[in-house]
Amino acid sequence: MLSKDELERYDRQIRIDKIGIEGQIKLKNSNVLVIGAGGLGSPILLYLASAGVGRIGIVDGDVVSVGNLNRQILYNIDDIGKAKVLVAKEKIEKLNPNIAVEAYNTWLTEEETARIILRKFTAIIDATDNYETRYLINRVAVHLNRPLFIGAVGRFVGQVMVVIPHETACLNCIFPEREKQILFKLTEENRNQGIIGTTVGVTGTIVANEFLKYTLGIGSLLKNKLLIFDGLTNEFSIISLERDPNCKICSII
Amino acid sequence: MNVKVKLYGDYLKYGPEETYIDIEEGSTVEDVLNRFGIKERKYIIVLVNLKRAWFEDKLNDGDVVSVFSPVGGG
Repeated sequence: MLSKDELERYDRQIRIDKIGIEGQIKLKNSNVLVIGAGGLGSPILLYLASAGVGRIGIVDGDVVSVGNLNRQILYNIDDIGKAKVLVAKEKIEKLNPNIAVEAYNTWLTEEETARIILRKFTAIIDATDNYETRYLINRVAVHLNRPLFIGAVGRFVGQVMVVIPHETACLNCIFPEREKQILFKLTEENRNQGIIGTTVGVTGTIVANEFLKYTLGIGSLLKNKLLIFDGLTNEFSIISLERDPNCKICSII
Repeated sequence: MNVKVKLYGDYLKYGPEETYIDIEEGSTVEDVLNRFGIKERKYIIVLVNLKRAWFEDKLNDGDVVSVFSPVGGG
């Protein structure tokens, strides 16, 4: 059931024939864990909260700094020095008081911690900024059989893929995990390449849209597909993918 | 033999989005990268017929080679 406030709040999207009241109730009953409350996490959290996703978890161990403000649109100068997840929780609760928000003020580095947190949600969004965490999330999501929505960015380029464990290619099928030092270096180089807010805006919005479609059971998803968005040329390319039958993650677990 | 090569993102500067090239029997992924003059190989991802491939993998007539690189920021 939807309250009077909810009916009024979501009126414009309920009018979409593929959503309707039934779809809105699906969104209300859905839940998702968003890992990373930075550049990608900002639009993802704002759009999922405003769309009425009933329960949202946020994981991040970082605090807001002035260098975040070129792209992390959840935050402003009053938030500098505060824990991102706490600010994010407060903001999206104010945006939509009808939803429940859980904040996990921690870095996701331990497999066991990841397992405990991911288990509480039926879908996972990877909006992190480093390869080590990305592989950890992919491993645990595949093991727990949770659909995983992955967004990644650098400069003007965004990439999005959707992993349905044991049905579609996982992150490791396409980008096989390498030694820790190489992952660390990759992350560092990615950071040094820089990033602009519009790239995370477009990419994060696509990730949020994939989750909404998945929950509503409408449209087509980026399953076995990698979307590459190039903000310099406005090109959207979709690369078809296939599961690696020898993948060390999804063919074994 | 003929293979189709598709370039994405950063690699578009080495050629058009899609090209058919004629290569010798027994050519490898590396031979194709050389043909396009692609020197940035540190983080390159090559798919052959939608599956992850490696530089030394031999190609067959009709293969589709996709070349791109991952980004990882958030």
